[in-house]
Amino acid sequence: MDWHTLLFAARWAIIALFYVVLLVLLVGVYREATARVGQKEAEAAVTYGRLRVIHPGGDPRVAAGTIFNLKTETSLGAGQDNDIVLGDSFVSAHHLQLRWDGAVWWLEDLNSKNGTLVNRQPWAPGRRQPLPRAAVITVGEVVMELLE
Amino acid sequence: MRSQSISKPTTRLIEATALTMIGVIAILGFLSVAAATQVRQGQDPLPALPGALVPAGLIAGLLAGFHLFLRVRGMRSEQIIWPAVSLLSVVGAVMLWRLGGSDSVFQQLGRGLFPGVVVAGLLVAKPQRIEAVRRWAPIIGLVGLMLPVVTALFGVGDETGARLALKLGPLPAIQTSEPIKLAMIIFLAWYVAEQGRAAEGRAWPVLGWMRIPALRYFVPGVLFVAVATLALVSMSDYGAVLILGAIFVAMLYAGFDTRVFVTIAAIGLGLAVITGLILSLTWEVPVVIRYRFLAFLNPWSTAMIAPNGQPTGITIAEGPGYQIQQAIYAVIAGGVIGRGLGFGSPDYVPLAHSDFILAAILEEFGAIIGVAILFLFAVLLLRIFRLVALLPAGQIFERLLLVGIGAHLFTQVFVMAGGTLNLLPVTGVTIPFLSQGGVALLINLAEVGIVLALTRRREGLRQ
Repeated sequence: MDWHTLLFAARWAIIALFYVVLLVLLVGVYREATARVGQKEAEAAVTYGRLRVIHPGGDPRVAAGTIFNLKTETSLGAGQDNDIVLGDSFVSAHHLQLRWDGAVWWLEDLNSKNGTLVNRQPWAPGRRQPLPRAAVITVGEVVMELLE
Repeated sequence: MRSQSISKPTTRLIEATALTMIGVIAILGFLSVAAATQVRQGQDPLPALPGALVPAGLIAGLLAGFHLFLRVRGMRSEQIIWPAVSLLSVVGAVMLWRLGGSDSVFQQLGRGLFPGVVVAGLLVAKPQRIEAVRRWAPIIGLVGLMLPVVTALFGVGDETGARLALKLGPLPAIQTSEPIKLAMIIFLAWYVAEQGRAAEGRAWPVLGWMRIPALRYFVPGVLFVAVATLALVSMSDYGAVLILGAIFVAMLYAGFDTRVFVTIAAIGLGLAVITGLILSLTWEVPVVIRYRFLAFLNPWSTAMIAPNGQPTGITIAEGPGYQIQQAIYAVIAGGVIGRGLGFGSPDYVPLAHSDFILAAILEEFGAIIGVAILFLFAVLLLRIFRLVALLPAGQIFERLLLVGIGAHLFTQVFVMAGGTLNLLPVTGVTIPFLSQGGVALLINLAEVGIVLALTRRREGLRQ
């Protein structure tokens, strides 16, 4: 048995297998990338929390009990490009932004004209701060409750 | 909404396929080394073969076991990281068997691979444990910081005389410069997550564009790095200082607004330059650093042996250029496909089992495998940073953990490979998963465990 030849063959086998493993991993990445496209739509449908309207205020389309679904980042305001559109006249075009970080809800008032109240207290504008649980948020004349 | 996912076993086909081939590589590798050693001595290799199957089987079993564990736990995604880590570990183990025989390999397995897999398993089994890590972060940071301090004062020396390990009674000596890196990552991640968010709104303008946040947001981190640097420098472990610095900068960049980061970095750099200037005037730059730099610039220079033409009594073989010279020769001797496992002469490269293991690998496996190894590291790093992007908005602690871990792995590979190939000065850094080192391997596997645990936690969120 010519060991040198055997060992030489083993060496090439190792090299070949090494690169096949790399190939397999690349295939895995590719399959994951193409599968993710379908997953994106599914992820968009997941809700992480809800706002329930307690007092509808000036928007005729909103009634007490209306539920808004919240994503990880949800914008709220009078403008049409917001995730939640409130037509109340005391609501600014881009009023506030809600954010979920996996553990806590954060609220940032985007320097709105009439401000935001949380549990009837004025909310400091321009800074993202954590919300207490079951917070009652007042935007313009619309009063909503945060449900997790 | 955040329901616990019911664990149904998953197939993980990509991982299984890759691991099967990795298992074959392991067997072929160990058998080749055993056979080659015998053949070189003109003896019949057959009797040596069964002995080689023991470490091969143990490693393959351990790596496959973790894969089965992931399957049983119902982990669906991330089939790339474990095969990459496994293949690297196999190459390292084969090389250690080649260099040091059974003792080296079983030490690596027993003190590094096995405990590391256990720790990773514990983290993946219950990803909530990351929350516990977060709560314990200050203590972890303190303990991690104290380890090098205690070692600098009471540690035991190793073959190069550097005091790197702590010996507690009958337990084997453990290196303390590795745990501090993970401890710092955890501590910084926790601190910036706790305090940094509030820092965003309260930065003061400096020179128009830059912003400096209140001191309490970055001083603890700086203090941590400063104390660690002092301890590590007195242990002569400059490589660790370099890595800590790189991790610190990376996490700062990820944790703060760009303008704040640039401000802090500028201040830090300024302080470092001033300190360097003062030190070079009043205190000799340590001989080690000077020689390493000279060796990097010209490994064959005789300046270290006979500066000013006067011989200093150091022979070429003892000079710091010798390491790099031998490493370069080894890489050249390896060529593309290597000299063959067991057919090279890695013993001529000093520290071939730790700092220069890449040279030994390049000599026997060849550059073709060396390139593949770099690819593997690149894939591993990309997966980690991909996870950072995929985390839900706002998970600062987790994000910074991953950035720190990624920076840790990257810097190690970059500095170590650079040193071996004489693209950077030698720094005494070991390469993850390949070099000999129980604690280092344990820490690296723990980091992999954190990454996989966060991946698993993310899977649960989607339901």
